[in-house]
Amino acid sequence: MTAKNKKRAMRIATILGLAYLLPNLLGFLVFTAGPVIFSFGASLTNWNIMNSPPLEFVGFRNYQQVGQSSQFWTFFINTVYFMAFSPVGIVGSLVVALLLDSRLRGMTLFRTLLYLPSFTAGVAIMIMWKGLYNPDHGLINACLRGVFDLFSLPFQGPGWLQSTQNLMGLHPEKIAFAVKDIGLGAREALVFMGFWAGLGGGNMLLYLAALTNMPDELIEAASLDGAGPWAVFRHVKWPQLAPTTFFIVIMSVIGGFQGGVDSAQVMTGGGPAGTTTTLAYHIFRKSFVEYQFGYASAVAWVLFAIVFAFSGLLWKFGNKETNY
Amino acid sequence: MRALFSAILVVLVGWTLFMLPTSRDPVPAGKTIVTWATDDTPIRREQIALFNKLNPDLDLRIDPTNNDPNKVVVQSIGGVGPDVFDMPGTTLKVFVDSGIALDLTEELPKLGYDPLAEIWPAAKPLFAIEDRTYGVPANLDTLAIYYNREVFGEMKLPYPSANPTWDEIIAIGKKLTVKDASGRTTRYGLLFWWDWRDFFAMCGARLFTDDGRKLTIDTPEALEAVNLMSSPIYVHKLAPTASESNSMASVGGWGSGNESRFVGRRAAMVVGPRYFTGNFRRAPDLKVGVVKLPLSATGSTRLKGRTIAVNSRSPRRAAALRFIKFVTDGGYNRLNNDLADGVGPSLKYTEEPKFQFNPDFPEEKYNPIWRQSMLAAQPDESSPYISNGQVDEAVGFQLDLVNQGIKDSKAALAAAQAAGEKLLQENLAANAALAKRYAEGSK
Repeated sequence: MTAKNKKRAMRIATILGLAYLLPNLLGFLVFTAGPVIFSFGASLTNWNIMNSPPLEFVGFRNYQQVGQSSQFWTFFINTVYFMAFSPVGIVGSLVVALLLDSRLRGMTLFRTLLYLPSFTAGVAIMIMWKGLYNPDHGLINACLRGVFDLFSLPFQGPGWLQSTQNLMGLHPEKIAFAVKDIGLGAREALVFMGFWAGLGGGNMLLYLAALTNMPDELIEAASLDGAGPWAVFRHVKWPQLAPTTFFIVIMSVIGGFQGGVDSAQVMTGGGPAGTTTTLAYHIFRKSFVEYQFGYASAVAWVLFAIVFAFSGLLWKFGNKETNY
Repeated sequence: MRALFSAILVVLVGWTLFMLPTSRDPVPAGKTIVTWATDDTPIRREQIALFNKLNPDLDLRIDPTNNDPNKVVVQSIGGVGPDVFDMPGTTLKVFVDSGIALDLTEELPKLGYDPLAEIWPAAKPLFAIEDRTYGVPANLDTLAIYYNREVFGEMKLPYPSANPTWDEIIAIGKKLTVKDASGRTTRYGLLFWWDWRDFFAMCGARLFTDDGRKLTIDTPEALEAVNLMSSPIYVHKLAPTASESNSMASVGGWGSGNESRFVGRRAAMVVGPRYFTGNFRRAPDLKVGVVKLPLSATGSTRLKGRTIAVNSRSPRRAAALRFIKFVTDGGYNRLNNDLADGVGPSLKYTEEPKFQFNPDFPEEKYNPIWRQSMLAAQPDESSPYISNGQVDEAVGFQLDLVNQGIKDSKAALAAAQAAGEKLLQENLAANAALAKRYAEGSK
């Protein structure tokens, strides 16, 4: 092939490559990049659909209001509260993946069963949990009542979705703690449901894939050197899983900050007393219930900054420890 | 490999182009499709059938998946909204301020309709702002108490009196509440919606001063309303909590929520609107009676309803206006009254003998009660200085704390008042024109 022909072939290959990328690129520009830039512009205006007051440029006033809003900080705490439990979910996924990595008969069935919630409609799962959490007639309190009855103990079941109580004793109205606010309430109800739904979900699959791809020689060598199951896990598997764990943590942080809309919409309406309203649900309500698109855009950009900062910190301090 | 991917690309593009014309609903020859964003109910289908029969050149279709006001607003601004749409409750201002609801002030007289003379007088805030008319109510409704006559018979209890008091309803409700051996309630005495605005209206509690400049949600009447709403649940235990209601199985086929539970004999009485009657008709064994809702001296029933408006950006405005005309006519009003979808928009059709007593439904001897209740009904109050959503947020948050036992009703209402006033002041600070209007004291 002459140099000229080579050049021509290269050009055709480039054009073809770009043609293949074009649909996706166009979609990205129109449906992702465009709205992102537009939302930043909107965040600098007082835009609401009702044109009252008339549309005007307000600079960073919306951002100032976000910072001064006690509501924003309450919902930020709610969001962080939900995220605080994500390590438990990650550990749970790891344990399940380790169990499913063993070569027992019927393992395919177990894997399928554990993955079942992931391909069940989220709303259906939420409605089911709503019934389970009923304080008086729900299965969860009925089981707890049975256990208490067994030991002849008086039973006052958690209020679950109806209750503002929480494990940290956060007061629903102000940023304060109180012993009387400690208990199991709506926040925990959503956390437990999320834990259940996530146990056999994407994180478990990632861990399972990482375990499956782990070289057998490493484990065999450790075993020959007398390492027990715990030592094999601690010194061979866990370090090998570090990049996967790092990825899962990053994704959990990003997903955690953006989450809470579905469950709030279906199960709690963000209540009781705003205890299950996350920042993402706050943005949804400000835009599509109160039509304050300017302010909602500002909250979205503040949320982006928070996610970016957290992810950056994790990347800076976590990446070099986990990638070899 | 390159050839394979290229071939796949060509096939996909070709297939898309080939299928594109088939992806749209076919338009019947010689017909114009008119889209109405509303809910899909058997009643709605009968109304549509009548319209399409009377207007053979039009094909009215509903879009129930985009019925939500938020979707209507966003889609209409984007230029893909419905031709006509429902505005529930007092959402009129949102649609007017956003320029979506067409001003019909000049159009309605051309259709031979005087809305102020024809429509139930209390409904004016649902369709007009400052003497400009933006729609016609699709239907209107209010609340009364339904009771299951058979359950009363089995318990050998007399029916509630024609004008009961709350004390009477609560006393009867207690007797009708049944628990099983484990203490679980198998039948509640009374069901009602946990909606503080219903009880504010009953107790005559105002939300705002007359000029709308100040909230008044911490008055003795408001306190009475909150106590009245919570006492059947938490004090007398004759009504379910919200979560108990959610977990009570619906008994299929008769609407959803409270009317379904009432049909399933999970409650002996239910506070509900007239449209429940339409659902109860599908339970032929159910024997129902209706009595008026107890009201305080200054109280009223709450007027509910939805108004049909024309999308100002609709390219089929003429067809949409024909639908509005249809809603104002006797055919639609009588059909609506017969189907018990609340009452039709025009008051005069409820004066007709067939509304007073419909021989097709001889058991329903209570239509005069609905008419009287409708005449006593009042719409939700509103203020230009604070949205209903903001008031709901302030009051709803505090009522959650009352439910938790964290606050008593009085403290909660005082806090809701303070939170509402703060929101109102924030609205004024963000809107110079509104602040000027507020300073001038005009509503």
